[in-house]
Amino acid sequence: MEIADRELQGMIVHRVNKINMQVGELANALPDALQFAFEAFSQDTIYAGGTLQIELIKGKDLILESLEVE
Amino acid sequence: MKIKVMAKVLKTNEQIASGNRTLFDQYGTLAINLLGSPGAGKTTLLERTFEKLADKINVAVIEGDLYTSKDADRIERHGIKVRQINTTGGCHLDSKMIAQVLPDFNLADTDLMVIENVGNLVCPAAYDLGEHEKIVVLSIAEGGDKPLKYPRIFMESTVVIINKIDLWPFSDVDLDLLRQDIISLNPHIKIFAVSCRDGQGLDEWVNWLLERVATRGENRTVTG
Repeated sequence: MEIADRELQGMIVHRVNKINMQVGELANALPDALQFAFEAFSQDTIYAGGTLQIELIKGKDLILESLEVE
Repeated sequence: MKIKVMAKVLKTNEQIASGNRTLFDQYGTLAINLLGSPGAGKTTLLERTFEKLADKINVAVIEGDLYTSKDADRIERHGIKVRQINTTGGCHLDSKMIAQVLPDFNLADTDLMVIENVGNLVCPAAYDLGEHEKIVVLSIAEGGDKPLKYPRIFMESTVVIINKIDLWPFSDVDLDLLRQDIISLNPHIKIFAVSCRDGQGLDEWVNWLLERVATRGENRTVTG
């Protein structure tokens, strides 16, 4: 969310509907844990009620791919 | 509206790690990130290693633990400069934590910096701290199935130390299969089988370490 915040700096954004992430199978990041963290940290922010969409990919990268905002 | 980002989540960690590595390189300090499960014998391995290194090179240690300074206290008894980082629940060290404590050390006078990570075979593997080598300690008592179950840490490491080898006759671990599994994940990994209890294998490990320290020291960019 810090990375997303930096990306959205200077823009007028009412809410973030979707965060698209790519999670490598060797990233040692559990999709369920990411979902849990997203729900916990998004409360009372522009991310609240949005969806964290996770695409599993090969390799070890953990990437914030795109944001869908309004 | 869709905004393309394509940013690595751990990019900041990688940038700070790169700064740490540059600092180690400037002073010719070999930095190792010591990894392994809780109870694998990481701290005991360090104690036995430092006994053999006494008067040969200058060593410093950063100890990572969730709570307490028990490990740092053990290292300090050997007369070694040590700094404890408590992650208060965090399961790994990151590069920023290391950058924050590096000013406490005189790197110009440090040949080897050992960063003992939090006991964990999972998350620490994903965080570059700025080290030159990741070294994973795996004890016989953990069972031989761990490399294939926790592959990344073995893929990232340059050395695996199979510790508590004295317990092997009392275990069901198939040592040949264990070596085969490790090599299948990382064909270039160096494997040492040691016992910190009876001392077997420690000389080979310490000699390897001394060679690496010497090579790193020759490449220092800051003189004097």
